[in-house]
Amino acid sequence: MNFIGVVGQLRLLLSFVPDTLSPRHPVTLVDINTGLLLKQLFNAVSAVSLLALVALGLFIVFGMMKVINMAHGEFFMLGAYAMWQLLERGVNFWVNLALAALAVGCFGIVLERSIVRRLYARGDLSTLLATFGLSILLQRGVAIAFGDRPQFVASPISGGPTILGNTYPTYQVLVMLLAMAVIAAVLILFLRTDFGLRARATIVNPRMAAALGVDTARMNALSFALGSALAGFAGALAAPLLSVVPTMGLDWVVRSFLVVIVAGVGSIWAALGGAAIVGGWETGFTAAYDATYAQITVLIIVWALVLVRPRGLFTGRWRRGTR
Amino acid sequence: MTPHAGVSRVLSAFWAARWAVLLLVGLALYGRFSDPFGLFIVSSALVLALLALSVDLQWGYAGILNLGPAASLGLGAYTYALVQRKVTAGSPTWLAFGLAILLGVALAVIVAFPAFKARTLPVYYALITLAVALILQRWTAVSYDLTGGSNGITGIRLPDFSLPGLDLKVTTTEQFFPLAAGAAIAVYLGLLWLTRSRFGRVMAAIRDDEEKAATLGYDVSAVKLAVAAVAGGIGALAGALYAPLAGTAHPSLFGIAFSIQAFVWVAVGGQGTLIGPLLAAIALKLLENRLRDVSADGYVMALAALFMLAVIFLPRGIAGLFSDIAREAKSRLARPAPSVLSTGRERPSEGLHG
Repeated sequence: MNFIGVVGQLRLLLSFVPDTLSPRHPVTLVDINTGLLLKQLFNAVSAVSLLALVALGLFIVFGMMKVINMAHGEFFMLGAYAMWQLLERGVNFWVNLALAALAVGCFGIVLERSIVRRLYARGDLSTLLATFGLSILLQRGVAIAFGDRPQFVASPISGGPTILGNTYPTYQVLVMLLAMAVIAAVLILFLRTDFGLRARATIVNPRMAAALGVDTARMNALSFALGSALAGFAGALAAPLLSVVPTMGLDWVVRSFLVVIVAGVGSIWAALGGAAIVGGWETGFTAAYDATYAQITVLIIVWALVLVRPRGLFTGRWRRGTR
Repeated sequence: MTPHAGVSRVLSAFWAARWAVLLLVGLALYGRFSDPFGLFIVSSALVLALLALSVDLQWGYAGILNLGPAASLGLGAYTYALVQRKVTAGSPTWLAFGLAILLGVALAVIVAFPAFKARTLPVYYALITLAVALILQRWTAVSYDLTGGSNGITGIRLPDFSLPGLDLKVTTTEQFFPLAAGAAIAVYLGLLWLTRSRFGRVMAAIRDDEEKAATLGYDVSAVKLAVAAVAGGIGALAGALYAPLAGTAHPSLFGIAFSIQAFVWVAVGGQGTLIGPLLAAIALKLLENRLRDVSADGYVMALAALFMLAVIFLPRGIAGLFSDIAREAKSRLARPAPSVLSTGRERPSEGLHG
């Protein structure tokens, strides 16, 4: 159900946490050796890159439209279900990745044009509420269509190299690399293209951008589609690593929002930094101790950071050349 | 105070509480003629309506959004269940309720303090509350020793409010109905008083324009914190009442279904009115009872769709629609009284208020 359960099976690093606190797993002291540390590092990087991919989509939508899309996690879930359904119908796995992203992206455009657009003027809370309703709607809709039981998507590549006594599944390596490649592509799109310039202008000052001839309504729709497509892609990509259930998106939307809260909005780079903190801590703590406590401690850390830096850690030097 | 003013004050207090009286009469009639199962359904509607009222207080009156109100519901339920189980000497009911409310307030303050003190974006509070509810749900599901894990705690005893010389033991679910009705009406009246007090007007001022209220010298973060604390207490009370009524406390009490249900009731009943969510709770719970057999998922889906439509098209709920009509009629007779801050965009703090 969450990637931590799959990614992190080892618990070693933090053996100072008292045994009695652990709900289920007594802490067993494991020899800390280079191989295990390397494996943990790999797990953390893999988890962070996937989280960054999901959070990036949320970031764009939130930064661009100041819209909180609570259904972002359900887009992730829809991507995973799209992958599962298409595989069942015999479509090639790698084609499915593109198809899932495309389908969820189109769904995003439809939603933006039909629902979200109506709520821009009303402030972010009503958008948040409407998309909250939408997320439950999608979740239960999928539950009605396919049932609540977990579905499993087979990994297209099995096996992987063994380094220092630990196996590194090829598919997980591939997920990491693909996620990083897509993130890089999005960064290039935003920082190096004409579209990116217009998009950033819309983020910084929508009215000024509109006055200078940027079609902000179109920008909003496109960014929403891009954000949804990223979530759908991530969902399809992660499907073999997770059990595919209707509620799987909730974890991801919460985690992505923690990234946004830690990092602050404004720069697209902040998403990556925030993902590194949230994902890294969760993976490390899960490995060392327990997944539930990992989430609790992440929440406490995020909340403490809010007291110190209410607008996020990575605010300050933001958009190139503006403000 | 002249006798005349005293009389008119009493009359206006009665007028303000007219809905409570009507509700009381309606519930009394229902209690007289309904079957036990109907009483159980309406009891749980009334108890869970308290959660909706806590959502309404935050969202409708103070403009702060707590997406995980079920956190306090679950906390209250587990506190009640655990106190009833662990405390064997005497009657732990008063202790259970007291502790539940105390913990509900404490959790709300802990969660809300950084958000309001540091003046983050309002959406951060919404997201953090959601995360807190989710994590509490997960934590209770894995903490077998304390909470019984995902099986929860079963066989929770009904409350016994007996004091020396006064027998107030609830022994059957039917006897729970007056307790639920009493709690709902008491909280309703309390909130009615709170929202119409000076504090309530400051609350409305913050909702309508936070910066303006702060500029005028109101301690915005303290007021919001107080609202969150009251709401947390009410939510925990709802949980402490729900646990004995349902007989079980389980992790899904923290879950999103209870949260969205409260939101739906508020959205349908109309945020910024107190009677709306109460009536919506009863009506929708009875409807749910009819539809649940058809499809539970379908029911939740319909609720979510209803919620979305209400947020998009009826920003102030169905009750808000009536309130608009009532206000229209009223404004032809007299000009409305000014609030603490006369902002241009006034929300339905008058009209069908209670």
